Amino acid sequence: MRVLVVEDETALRERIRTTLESRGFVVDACDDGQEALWLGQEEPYDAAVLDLGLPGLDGVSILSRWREAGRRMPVLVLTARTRWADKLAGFGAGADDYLTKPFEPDEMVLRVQALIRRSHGHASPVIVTGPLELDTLAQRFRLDGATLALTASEYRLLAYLMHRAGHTVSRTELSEHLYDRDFDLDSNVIDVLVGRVRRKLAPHALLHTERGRGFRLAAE
Amino acid sequence: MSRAGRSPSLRRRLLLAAALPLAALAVLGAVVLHLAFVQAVERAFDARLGQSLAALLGNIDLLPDGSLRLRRELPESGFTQVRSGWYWQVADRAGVLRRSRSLWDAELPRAAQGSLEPGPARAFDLAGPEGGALRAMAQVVRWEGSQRTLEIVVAGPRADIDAEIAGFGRLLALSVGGLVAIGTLALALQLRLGLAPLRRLVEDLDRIERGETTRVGTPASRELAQLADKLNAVLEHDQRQAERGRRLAGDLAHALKTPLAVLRAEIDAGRQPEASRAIARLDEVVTHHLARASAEARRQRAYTEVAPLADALRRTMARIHADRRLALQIEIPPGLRVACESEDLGEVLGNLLDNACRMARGRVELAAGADADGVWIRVRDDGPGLPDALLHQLGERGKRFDERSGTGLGVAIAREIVDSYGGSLDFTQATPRGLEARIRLPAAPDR
Repeated sequence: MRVLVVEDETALRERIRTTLESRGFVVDACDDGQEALWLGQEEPYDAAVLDLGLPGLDGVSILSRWREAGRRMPVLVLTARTRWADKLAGFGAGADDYLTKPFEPDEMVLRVQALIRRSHGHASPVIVTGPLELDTLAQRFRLDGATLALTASEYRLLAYLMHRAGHTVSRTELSEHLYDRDFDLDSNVIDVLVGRVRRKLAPHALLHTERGRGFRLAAE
Repeated sequence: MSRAGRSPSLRRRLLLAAALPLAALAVLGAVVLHLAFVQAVERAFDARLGQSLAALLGNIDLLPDGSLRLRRELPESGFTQVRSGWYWQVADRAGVLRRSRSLWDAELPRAAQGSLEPGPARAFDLAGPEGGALRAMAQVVRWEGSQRTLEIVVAGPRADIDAEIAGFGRLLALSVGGLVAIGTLALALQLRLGLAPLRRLVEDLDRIERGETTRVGTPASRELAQLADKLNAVLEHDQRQAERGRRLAGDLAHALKTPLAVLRAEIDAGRQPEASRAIARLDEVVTHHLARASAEARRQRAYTEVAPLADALRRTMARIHADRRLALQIEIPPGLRVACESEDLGEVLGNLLDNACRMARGRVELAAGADADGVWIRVRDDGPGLPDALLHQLGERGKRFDERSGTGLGVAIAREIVDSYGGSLDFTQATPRGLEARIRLPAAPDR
């Protein structure tokens, strides 16, 4: 899952980035309103964490322009303003959730996870596909009831496919959501990763390759 | 408005200031006119008497025997009609020598007793034989050739003069009264027209007070247009000041809370609970004082329509508590307005609804209405509620019922805002279960 973090306070931005990365998110961080506006319009993020009190272009304007441009990714708003009038303005501009500063980094991660899960239409924190279960809160897969041991990159891949279960996901989409902007699309990293995950899911054939189009996670 | 109600009206003062001198002037004019008229009438009457006196003198012959002979009766018929009021008599030192037929057997009182000094004719008032007042003219003449001095008196009824004066007086009173009345009416009309732009200015200010507009209109007259421009400048300055206060509170929130957020993020809450609690306490103090600061920067009077705000809050709550799958039911009559600024009402309802959504099992209700005491608003959840003993403590400073979410602080802020508007906030046990918050706020005046 790839998340955009927009926060102008360096220490807080880096803390948010490391916290999210430690939970398996791929993070693009920026401190500038104009750059945030451009990134949010151009890059396919799974979620954004947006500080409303940015110098220059403020968070509410960025958010409404993302929404005007048709970007639907869930946005968690960070705000120092505690008045409901400010929160209403944020939600009016298209925010999906808010956190008032100061906040627990863990709480922020939980909110981002819940937003992503809901944006894919999963109401429950546990997503199920056949014998495979993803507990989004514990960030753990179970196959036939037993915990599935996965590396960080394997988890990221499977978690993304799990959220998009039933849909065909292209290599480009995977690279965009699992890696940051500098990823080399021509490498075969994704195919190697898919192969490793598929072997761990055996004997169930859950991860299908759709030739020329991508991959699809679905029950047999 | 109450102070203005007691002060004398400018219109009444201007009207009095103009009408009183007008009336005084009119009365003075009437008195002078009346005096002049009385004089003129008396002089005209005296002239008539003088003519009769001259005619009498010219027609009298003094005979050698000392008696008088009237060559011809005077042309005035009144002198021959008995008791007509027109009389003449000629007398010497010894007594009346001759008199008009109209006197019959009466005599006019002698003007001068004893010495009869010849002199010019003089006019005076005297009482007639019937008691009626007479205007008389008398002259003492020394007869040529003899040494006799005669007193000749001609009199006419004073009632003729008085009737004429009274008639004139009535006419005078009528016209002066009419003049004053028309003048006052014209003044009142002029003042009404002249002060109309001022009245419109006051109406505009009333509308600003009711929160329906932010500027006064520009009057047609140049002097008042300048006043209106100045007023608008002051109003704008006021609004900017309030806006600046709010913005300052917001900027301060950002400046204080972001470093707090860094601290919170850097501290491992599990291992440093003391530091974590200190940050929470700091956060609470900052939040509380910023809420007060922005409440104090509030505009003087504002009115908020409840339903649209409640709708925005409902959508927001649905997102914030998306996982809770709550039914949020709103029952607010359209057009219901409350005398409370939108941001403040949002703060009160936002805090209470957020708490209710947190505590509810499946249902939150927001209802409002107006009655004789103002506007009531009710926020109710179907959660566990609170024991009666704790209900009345809810919202007191320092009382927290939900450490994690800051419930107590939100209620304390809500209570402070409601109090500042002269309203009230109470909590009761909902039936069959849950917590019910009841707000009372002043109603907005009818539009």
